[in-house]
Amino acid sequence: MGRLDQNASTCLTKVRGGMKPLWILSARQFIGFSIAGGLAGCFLLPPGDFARTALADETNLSPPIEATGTQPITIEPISPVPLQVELDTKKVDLGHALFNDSRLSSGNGLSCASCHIPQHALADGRKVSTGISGNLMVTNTLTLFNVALNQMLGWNGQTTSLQKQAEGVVKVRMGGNWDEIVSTLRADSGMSAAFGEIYKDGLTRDNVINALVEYEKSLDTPNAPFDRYLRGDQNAISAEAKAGYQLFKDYGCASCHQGVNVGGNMLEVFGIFGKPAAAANGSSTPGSAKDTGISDDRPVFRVPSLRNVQYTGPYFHDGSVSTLPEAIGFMAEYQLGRDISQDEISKIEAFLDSLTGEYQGKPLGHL
Amino acid sequence: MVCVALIAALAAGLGYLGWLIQSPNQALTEFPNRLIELRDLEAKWDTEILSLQLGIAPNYDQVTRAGHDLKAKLDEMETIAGSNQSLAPLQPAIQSYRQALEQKAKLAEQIKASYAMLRNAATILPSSISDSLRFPESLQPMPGLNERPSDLMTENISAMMSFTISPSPILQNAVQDRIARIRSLGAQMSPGLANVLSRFRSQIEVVTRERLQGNKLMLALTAIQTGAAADKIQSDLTSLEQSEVESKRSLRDVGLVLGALLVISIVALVSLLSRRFAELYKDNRVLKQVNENVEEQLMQSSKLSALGQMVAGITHEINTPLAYVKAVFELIKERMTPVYQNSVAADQDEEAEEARREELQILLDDGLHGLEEISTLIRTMKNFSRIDKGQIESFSIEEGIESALLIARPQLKYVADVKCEFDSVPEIMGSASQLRQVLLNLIVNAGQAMKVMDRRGVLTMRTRLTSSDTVQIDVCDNGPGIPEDIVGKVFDPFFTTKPVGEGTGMGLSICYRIIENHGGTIAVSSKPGKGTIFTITLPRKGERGPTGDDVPRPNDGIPAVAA
Repeated sequence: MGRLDQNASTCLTKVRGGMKPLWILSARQFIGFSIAGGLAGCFLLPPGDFARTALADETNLSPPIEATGTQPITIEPISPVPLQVELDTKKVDLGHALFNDSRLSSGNGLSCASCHIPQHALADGRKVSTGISGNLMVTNTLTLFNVALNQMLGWNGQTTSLQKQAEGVVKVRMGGNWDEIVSTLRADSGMSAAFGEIYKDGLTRDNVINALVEYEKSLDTPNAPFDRYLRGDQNAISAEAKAGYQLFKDYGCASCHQGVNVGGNMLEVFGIFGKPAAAANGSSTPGSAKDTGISDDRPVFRVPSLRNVQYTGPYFHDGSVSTLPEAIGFMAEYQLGRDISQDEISKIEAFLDSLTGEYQGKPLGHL
Repeated sequence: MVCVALIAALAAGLGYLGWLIQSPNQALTEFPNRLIELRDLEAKWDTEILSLQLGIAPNYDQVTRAGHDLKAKLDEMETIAGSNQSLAPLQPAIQSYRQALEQKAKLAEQIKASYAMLRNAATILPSSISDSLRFPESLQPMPGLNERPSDLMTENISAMMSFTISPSPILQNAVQDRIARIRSLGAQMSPGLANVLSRFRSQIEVVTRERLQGNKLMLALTAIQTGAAADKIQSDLTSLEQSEVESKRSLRDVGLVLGALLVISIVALVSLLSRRFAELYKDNRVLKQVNENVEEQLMQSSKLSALGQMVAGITHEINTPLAYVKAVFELIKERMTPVYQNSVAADQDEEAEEARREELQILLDDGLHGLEEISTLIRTMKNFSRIDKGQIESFSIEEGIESALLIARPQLKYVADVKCEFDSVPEIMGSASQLRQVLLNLIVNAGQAMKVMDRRGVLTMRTRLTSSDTVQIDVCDNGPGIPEDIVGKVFDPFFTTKPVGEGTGMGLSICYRIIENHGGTIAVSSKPGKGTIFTITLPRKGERGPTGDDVPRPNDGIPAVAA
């Protein structure tokens, strides 16, 4: 019956040792705790998860079945990044070229790479980026690593297709005019030729976006130590990281940061318990998802991915928290209503560090 | 013209209809499959949402993907319906499905968020309790109450549990009460315990709130009519398919009608054409008739012109006998005058009287003879110039030759000698005037030919009966002959070697026609320097009319010219 019972029996031992008349009450407590535990287990928690939490030896994770459309239930809330992605290399290279091409901003001097810098794990290491004419943007720049694994995009999660996102960001964030971009690129004979080689209808807006998206799809970072652990390599991560993972699940971080991208597939209230400063503007906080019906007074954001999180700071939608331990504490406080110790934070941090993957065969720290 | 255009239009219309009926509506046949796929995807999504609500989903990847796949499918179907005219009636149903879907998607997001909060808050409850137990005062009865903080927490948990199992208003109130009590007691606790209690309280609040919310969302989810909307699309699709079948059927009917119209118009065209042909044929016959008439007149006028040419000669012919008839009459008149009578009366010589009487007799005979000549000539000319339709009668060739020679005598007198070698051929059936015309023409031609010779020529007229019962007539002259390059053309109409104004060139061609009509042949044989022979053969028709003169036989007319 789990941890709850362990606690209960500890209490009982303590109690029994002391006051005699209290054992009746302790029995009541025992019953209460049992009911609480039992019902919590049966009605509110995945039984599998609970069994795992309580009984499983932390080092004995069985390899998970990777989540696919038709497979039965996986056991872990997180699944590893696919090792292979089928892509057209010509399109990827073309997309890479376009990614770095400031002609996509119609004279504003910006390219995608202005804010998605490889040295900063395809984010830019700033709280909020500067955009057109040096004006500050609204939200912290998200990493583009593993972007194709996200089912919802952006801080407000309202865009669900990479194509729409690319089209929109060029217009809004980079100030580009698509007609102008297409005609400028067409005037470039090298670019035209490259497109002519790959696409039947040559250089069109849809094909430019297609190439960019193909490049984005190539930005996966598989083979993180944790992924290897999930695949069965028990020595891939340290014992501290394993303990951190356990806490991650037990404390409920994994309720939101789950899936193949450890996040990126749901919306959630920011500040379930208490009101963080970053959520001071409530449900009209810039960058948040509006009109979701999830909360009337608190901001709602898409849950971001925690892969490569050690390199993608500063954190949260306004970049207000700069270090990972701070962020962990923040989340525990405001999302879980928990008071966690430094030791626990370190363990969770060790786990989160193990989520850093490899890009083109090289671990991200060494880029 | 209109008919042809109509037929062409109908044929084209028919062809187009056939093509229309044949061409399957690609989009319409595939759409039902897509609809099935759509509903499958929705069912899948429903399963995922359910597993989420039951707590058996390990993470949200499946449910999110299922929702996205469904939306993508719907986008695809919308694009197809939008770009295809025939699927346009489905748009409203698809729209309402989309709206239902969007509502469902929104609810799904809420469910995900709510479930996560619920789960986390519930997870933390045990640790709240164990945290509180760290503080000994939690096991101490509170000042002024019989309860200990831990008991209060237990009560809260039981109330929450009951509420969670059955979220009724009563239980909700029970929970609210308990929470309120904890809040009120917070002030009396040490900060540490108060903190724990405060967290505990907020977690219970979240649990109860999200439990209620979860209920609400579940109910709201079932209330969304995606099933009905999909059914609507299905039924619209079915009626669309039915109307497609019906329209194909009506197209077929139209096709039948068009086909019938096509047949009718073809028949109309055929009848129109046949009527036109009949008219053309009639017109053609009329034209032929007119042509015959015209040719007849042409012949007549050429006859007359030929005749005209002979007027001079004939006038002379007539004048000669006329002059001496006149002389005779004047002599007689003179004899009758009183002077002469007196001189005669004075003279009593009987022989002289006898001589004078004989002389008078001879003179009178000569005069009568002259008159006779004139009258013959005139009768011959009259015969010759008579327009007749060529009534067939029995005709003596030799007589015809002789009368033609008579008419042509002035032209032949100084030019040639005439030799007749007649074989006493029998009479033939034919048009006398036409045959006479032919003979005269040939004789005159011969005369003209021999005229250019320095010596006097010889014109030979020969008749004989051949072995095959035809009559052969030769007109021979010893003129200069016809050169080889011309001899083949002599029968051509308008062909003449005479200078302009003399001769129409129609003579021999008309002769040719006439002889042809009689069933005979006419041929020329010539040797330059020697002479020319025109040979006519005519069949001898055995019949002879009862009287032999020109009684018109109703069906026996030979047209003046051949058709």
